[in-house]
Amino acid sequence: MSRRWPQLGLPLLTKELIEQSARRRTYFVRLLYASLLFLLAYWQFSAILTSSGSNNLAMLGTGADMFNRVVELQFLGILLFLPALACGAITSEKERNSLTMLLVTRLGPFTILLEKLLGRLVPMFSFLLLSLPLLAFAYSLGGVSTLELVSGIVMLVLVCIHVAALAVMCSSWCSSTASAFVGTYTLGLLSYPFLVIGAHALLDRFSGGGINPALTFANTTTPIQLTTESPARIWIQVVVLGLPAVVYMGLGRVFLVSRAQVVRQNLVLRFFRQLDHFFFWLNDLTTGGVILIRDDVQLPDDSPITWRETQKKTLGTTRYLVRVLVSIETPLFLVLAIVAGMAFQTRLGVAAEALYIVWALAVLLVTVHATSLVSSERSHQTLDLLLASSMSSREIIQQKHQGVRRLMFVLAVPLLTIFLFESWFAMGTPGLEDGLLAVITVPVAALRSAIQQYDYFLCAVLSVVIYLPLCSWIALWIGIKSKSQVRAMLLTLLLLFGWAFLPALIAIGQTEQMVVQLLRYPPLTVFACLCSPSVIVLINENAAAANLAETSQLMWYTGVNFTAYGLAWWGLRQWCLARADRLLGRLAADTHHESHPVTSAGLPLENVS
Amino acid sequence: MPDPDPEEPAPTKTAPVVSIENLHVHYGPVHAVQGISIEIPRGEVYGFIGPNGAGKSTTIKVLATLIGNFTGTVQVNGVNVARHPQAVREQIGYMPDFFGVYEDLNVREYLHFFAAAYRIARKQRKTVVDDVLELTDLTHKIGDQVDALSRGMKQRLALARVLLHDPDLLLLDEPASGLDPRARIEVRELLKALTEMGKTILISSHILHELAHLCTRIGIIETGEMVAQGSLEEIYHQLRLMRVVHVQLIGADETVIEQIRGIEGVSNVEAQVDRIAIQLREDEKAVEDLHQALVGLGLRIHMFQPEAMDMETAFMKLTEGRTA
Repeated sequence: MSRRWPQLGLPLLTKELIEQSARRRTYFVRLLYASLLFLLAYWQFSAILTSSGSNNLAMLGTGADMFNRVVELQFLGILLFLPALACGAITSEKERNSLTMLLVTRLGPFTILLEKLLGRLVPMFSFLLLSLPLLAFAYSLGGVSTLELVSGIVMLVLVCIHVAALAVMCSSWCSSTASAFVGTYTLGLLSYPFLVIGAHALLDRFSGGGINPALTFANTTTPIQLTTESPARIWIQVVVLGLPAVVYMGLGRVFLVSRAQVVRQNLVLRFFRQLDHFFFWLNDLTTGGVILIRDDVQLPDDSPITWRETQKKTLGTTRYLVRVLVSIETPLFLVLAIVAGMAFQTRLGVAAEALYIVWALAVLLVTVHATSLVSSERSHQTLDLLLASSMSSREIIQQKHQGVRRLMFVLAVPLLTIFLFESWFAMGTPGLEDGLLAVITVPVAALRSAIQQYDYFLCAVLSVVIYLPLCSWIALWIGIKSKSQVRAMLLTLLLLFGWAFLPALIAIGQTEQMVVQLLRYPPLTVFACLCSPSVIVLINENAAAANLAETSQLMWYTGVNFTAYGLAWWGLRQWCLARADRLLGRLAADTHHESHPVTSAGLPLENVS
Repeated sequence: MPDPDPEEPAPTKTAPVVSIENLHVHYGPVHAVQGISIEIPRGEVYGFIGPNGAGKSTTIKVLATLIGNFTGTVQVNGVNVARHPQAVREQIGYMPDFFGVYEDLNVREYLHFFAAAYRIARKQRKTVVDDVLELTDLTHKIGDQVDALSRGMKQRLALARVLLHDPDLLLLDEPASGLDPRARIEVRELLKALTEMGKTILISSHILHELAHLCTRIGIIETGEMVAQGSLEEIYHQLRLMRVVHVQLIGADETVIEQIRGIEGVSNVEAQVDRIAIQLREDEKAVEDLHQALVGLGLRIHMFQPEAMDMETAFMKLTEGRTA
């Protein structure tokens, strides 16, 4: 019997790379990554060069600083992009029912996993190569040692392998790309502090000193540290980042086989059912089981889709909306109440941080819900049934949106709570010293504070009234246009992240200075407001607190900003409703017939990206 | 562009329920339907046969107002689909080749949901839902979750759904696909009951002998083109298909076979292990006359079994397995 020699073919890796090269998305993401990297690097380099003064000689040696910034940016890029790129490695095969076919080939489970990992690492490495011109520029200015350069490259490659291994493990475990996506980011966030503490503890032991892990985490928030001293320090970090990657791959190998046929489950529903159990337990414990609002499901009235969205969907029913509200409002209220007694800047700082977190959460929830409105009908193959019914497309979209409206009302409550607290904090927390009477006097004082600072409060309220619906219509529109819910969700989040959250992220740590600079040039302020919806929020939060802008000035910016975004919301809504038939892929009702190509799935060809 | 049609969207009872003239559908560069013309009179069951990708579902989707990029004239009850899709939706019941599941609804809620979507008055809904449940024999499942039903029951529920607004035309895309034999027979019986109620049905299927039992007319489609249509007898006649008669004769030998070959209307005789297969040109000699002729030759007949006209043979003869 002749011996079969192993052949080095890497068929799965080849297939992955061919597939990726055939997708337009690959080039779009690469362009986006490069644009963000170069934009942020330009901004950072400019700051370094400006601070070094006008003397050209003073610029020499600043390369080390620039090099560190580029490595930091790439590190951030890996953390943000790679989980999204790699989390579908195995789940995409599960969703296409092709994993079992792969498992019965001569490719072993570990080979499959390894080739999948490499298939996701190659594009990420190409992203890392994008920074070569920046590194060359930094190197030319001097200050970067060879060891530091090697250390930087090794660390970035290691972080890539670590994150990709984590994502591939989650992908092996999960049944859908959406759950793998959430799982990778969640596990990554949870494991991050341990990596940081582990890395710094080992480095400290290597250098001979004692270490306080908590202090280490507070002082430096990355597990990578570029070294200029000894190559051995690189090896320590190789262990810290490489060892978990090996463990992730081992677990991924186990899950790949044991969970190859895992049944898809509605994770949101499961989460809410768990939440149900908890609340019932809490209710039994505190009230002995008193129920104020009973779920009394009626049969549909004349708006069947609204009925289903508000009576049957997880994020639409009163019971679950109350749970969402309580889950957000209770910790928020407690935190704000605790900081009320602290220093002026501290309490306002905490309130602003809470505001950004609640905004992010609200946008996330609205986006997930709104993108799923039509795409879930498509994935459950129920859209055609609705389209063949007597309901007009306009009605279908309007009724679908009703469920998100309720969610937006609920999410507006914690946001308004923060605005009230901030107004009250800004006025010096009147009524807090009234003892038990504070229960009455504080809310009255908070309301009075809001009225007194009407410019701040109006801007804040308008941001909720206009931005949340705008966000919901953008998500709904992308949900209609996209083939799958996951794609719609990722696209919307990416769009909103780039459009709304990036300016806020860039401004972290120096928001006040940036707002001061901006307010010096009113046309530039208006332009910035029109470029990103978060700019007015940053101005409102900082200008009012630090008295940076006059009331009339703030009112002017508020008026311009919200008129523009209000028009955008109204325009998008009208556009979606007017083109509802075409967007949903249906013959236009009682109008002259117009040809427009569709795919075999009934999806308008223009929708397929 | 479809032909202009200035008439009001008032359904006419005299017009054919379905009238398709020169229908063309493109999916980007793919010419999915290439000049199909069909006319289905009231109360008829029209079977649509064709390989995967032939254009059956596309044609049905055009009638269901779910596709916009077609050319030609398509009318339901005399109402132009391109001009008055909303009026057409009132007259059709569309059942796609998949079962759309709302996992959060039970059978009652599912039917009430679609009854509301079809704008049935709130007071009438309970009666209508009860009626369609009774017709589809699902009354005992009224409280069950939809996604917990068996596939056969889901198909019956889908039929109940399309009957809610009492449409004239039922568009059924592969209703028996993926069903076990019992469920398939149940669906077939249900369709027979609907035929007796006077519904006009356009049904596509791969299970050819079932269509043969059910349909009054058949259309065979391949790569978007209609290759044959008419009643079964007409299609067989068009194809000049030969009937095969299996006989067992006592003491049959080469001489007997030569004698049978000599009978007028017999095109071929093949001696098999335990029988003789005689191919007969039915337009020249009827099966009964063949029996008479064999007896006339003095042959003792142990078995005489004419093979049923075979839709599969017709289908295979007419199609070449091409796709658009």
